[in-house]
Amino acid sequence: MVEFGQFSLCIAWLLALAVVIGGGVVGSGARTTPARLESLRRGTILVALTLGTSLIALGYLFVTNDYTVQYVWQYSNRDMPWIYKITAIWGGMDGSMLLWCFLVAAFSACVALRSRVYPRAIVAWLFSFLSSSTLFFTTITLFLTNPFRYLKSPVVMPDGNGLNPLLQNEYMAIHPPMLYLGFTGLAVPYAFCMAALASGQMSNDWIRLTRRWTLIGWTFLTAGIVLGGHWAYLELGWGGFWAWDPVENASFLPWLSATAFLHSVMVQERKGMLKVWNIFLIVLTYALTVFGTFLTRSGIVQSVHAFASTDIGWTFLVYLSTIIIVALGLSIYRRTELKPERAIESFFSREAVFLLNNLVLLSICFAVLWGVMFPVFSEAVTGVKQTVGIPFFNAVNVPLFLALIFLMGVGPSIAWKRSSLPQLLRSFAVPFVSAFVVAVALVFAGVVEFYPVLAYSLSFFGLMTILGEVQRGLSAQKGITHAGTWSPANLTTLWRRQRVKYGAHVIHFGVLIMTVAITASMAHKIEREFTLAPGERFSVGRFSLELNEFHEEQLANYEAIQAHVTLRALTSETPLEVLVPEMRFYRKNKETTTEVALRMGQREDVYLVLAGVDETGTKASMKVFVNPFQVWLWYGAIIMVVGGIIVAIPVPRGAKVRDSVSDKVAQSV
Amino acid sequence: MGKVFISLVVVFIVIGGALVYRATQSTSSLVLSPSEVLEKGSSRDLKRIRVGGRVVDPIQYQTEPQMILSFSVKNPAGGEGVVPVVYRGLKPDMFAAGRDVLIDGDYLGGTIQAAKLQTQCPSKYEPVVPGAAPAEGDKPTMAMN
Amino acid sequence: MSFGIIASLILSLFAVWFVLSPLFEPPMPNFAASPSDGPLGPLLDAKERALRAIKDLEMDFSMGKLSQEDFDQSRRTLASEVAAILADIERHGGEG
Repeated sequence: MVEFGQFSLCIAWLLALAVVIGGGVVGSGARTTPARLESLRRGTILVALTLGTSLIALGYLFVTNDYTVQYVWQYSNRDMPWIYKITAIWGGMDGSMLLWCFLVAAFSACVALRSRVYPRAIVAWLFSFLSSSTLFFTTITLFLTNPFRYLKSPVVMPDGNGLNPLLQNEYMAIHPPMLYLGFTGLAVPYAFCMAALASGQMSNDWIRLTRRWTLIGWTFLTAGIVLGGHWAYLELGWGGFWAWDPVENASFLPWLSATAFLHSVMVQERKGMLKVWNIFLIVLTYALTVFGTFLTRSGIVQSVHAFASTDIGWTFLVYLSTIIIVALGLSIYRRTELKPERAIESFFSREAVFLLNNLVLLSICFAVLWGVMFPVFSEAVTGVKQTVGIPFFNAVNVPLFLALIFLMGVGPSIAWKRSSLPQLLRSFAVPFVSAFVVAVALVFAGVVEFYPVLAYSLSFFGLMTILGEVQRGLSAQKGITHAGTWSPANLTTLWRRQRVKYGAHVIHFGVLIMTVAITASMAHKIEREFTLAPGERFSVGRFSLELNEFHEEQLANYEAIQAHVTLRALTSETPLEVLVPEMRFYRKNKETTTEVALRMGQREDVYLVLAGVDETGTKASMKVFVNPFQVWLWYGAIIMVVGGIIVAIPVPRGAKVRDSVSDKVAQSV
Repeated sequence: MGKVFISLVVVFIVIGGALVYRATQSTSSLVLSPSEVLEKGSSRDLKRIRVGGRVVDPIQYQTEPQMILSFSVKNPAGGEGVVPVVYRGLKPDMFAAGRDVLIDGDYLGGTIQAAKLQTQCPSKYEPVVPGAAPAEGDKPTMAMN
Repeated sequence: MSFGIIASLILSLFAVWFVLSPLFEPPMPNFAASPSDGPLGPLLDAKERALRAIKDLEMDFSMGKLSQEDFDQSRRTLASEVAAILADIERHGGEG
């Protein structure tokens, strides 16, 4: 099986190389015959299949406990349940790179499967650039981080080393693959972009396809980032979900630039401008995914969960420079095709708002990148290494994010091309006044800090503009009886006619919910440490906690102490729930981990950590967090992902343009 | 390029730059290794530092009346000297002697007062490969049959 | 051992056949030529964009985001743009 896995990997590498070269040759030649394109198409699909068999071979080695293979020995042992043996495939660097290769290739194969209906001029180049991504990652996997290496040991090891206990968790099965799907998915719009530049064809079809594929990668990335936050929240025991750690930032950076692109591409679609800008955003997004991989695998910045330092960093830098140089060169070569067809006419237009949104997103992106790379920059420039932490990211990003929320409310309600001031006042009077009322109400209710009040009222502003949009959409429907009423039938019609538009509103609604949840958890979180003997109580927020008893357990590789703690509302004696936080002592490496006890609620989460038990075994020290509205963060994320899926569902070809209004227009002029 | 486009871009470069500059000035901290802390902190206190080091015994953890974790760190790559650390708070997961940690805090009177303590994991969990040269004496080593 | 080698051989033979066979066995399923591939492509795209802009304009107007005069003025400019593009397409011998 080792040979088979290794061999599949070799075939994949050769095929990818062949498609990169073949695609370039066919694309630049005059004769793009269907037969040649078909051959390239099949090659692209086959790369995914061979990488798939290679991945399966690695999985087989894990499941059959083949400890002659170094990687299998490092990351699994016989006692692990089979599911963790599977997830151990991406538990370390070598296997995660192989998974990465497979996913890039799988996305390329999906593109290839649908490619018969794509603009023919760019298809050959498309295959070439898709495979160039696969080729790069496969090169690293095959030559630098090969997971099929044999263990250098004179005897066969009887048992493996085992997976880090923190990674033996069901989120390990879903979070990394989801994140990788997001990262690798964004290689597709990059390939589309480069193919368009290479072939000189940047048609409307191209825009639609690129946007769809960006949206798919974006949706996966959104899900992956939030799942990572959820995992950290449940597993790491510090009561939070996001710490601006370099690894988290690495996943956030391409998300920001991809989000910017999804907005600015709409301007290109309608106005034929911002072409260079959009190319810049796509290439930046892809470069940031590569940079993220570089960041986590090179050990260049200190991180809580960076992979061990390796010497593959330079390959990423070489690849990054290649991407940038090629993109730059092609853009200069195609500069006449990239000239904007018109300019933005007015500050009060949706184009201008979208551009502003792009600039805010890029400012956040730049600030985060600056924060991540600051240790490196400061050492290079001043010779003294300095770093920035959570306070930096909050200080810069909170105002920028609030600006973004504001623009999110404004954007959809402002007309394309130009709006006049009275018109704007009319559109925004109700949302603005109601947001102001909310702000005043909050201040009277005792929320007096500036940013939380602003965040809540801006979220409300956003909500009102979305509702206003739906209302106006309902009133504007022609040929419907009782236009303007919120009847299910009217809403369905509206939905069917403008699914993409209202899908975007759904995403925005999810963002608003997340904003409220994040603000609440930043501004009103309660955090207390306390010690209790059995029978004693501690009050926190609107709850009381009573320690009942301890419970000890001996398991195969660790012993555990659990504290049984009764949670009550302060006003009542009825127990709400018995929380059971746990401490584990792993015998093998003398490490302790904590298992959080969590009561999720609509109003707040109660999050309890057992910190220690004194020598006599009679008192427990604990830390409790009361996180208001925490659960809404996850709901908001789910809403965003659902919105992403709604928008990404393909529209029947041609249906969009050819619908009633434009046909009538075409006949009338 | 339209005037609107250019003016918006310029405004944003200025605003973004100012925000980043101000936040950097007010929040950045020095990155030091334990031996550099000893060297630079011999004559004065060091405010706002980040230290990456390897935990060495003795580790003391008291939970009453307050959670206080005290331990020492040394250079992960080897080197002279250990620096005592005091952290008032919950002992992080996977904290143990031989682990690498990131400490944010101040160096006052010969002790690092940690405001934040993070154990470097979980992905950084690379076991020693048999046959490879052992890097450090105190790394957990695997039994060789 | 030998299983791995045999499987690898089969895989590589399949790969060679699968990829190269289209080159030797016409007829091939055609890759659809999109209208924007031809010489008229940019013009057709421009026409689509202009129609899209008119549609957006009417939508914005019906939703009350535009004043009557802004709407009238923009609609006139866009309509003349479409007319110009259609005339161009006509000149290049295509049917819009």
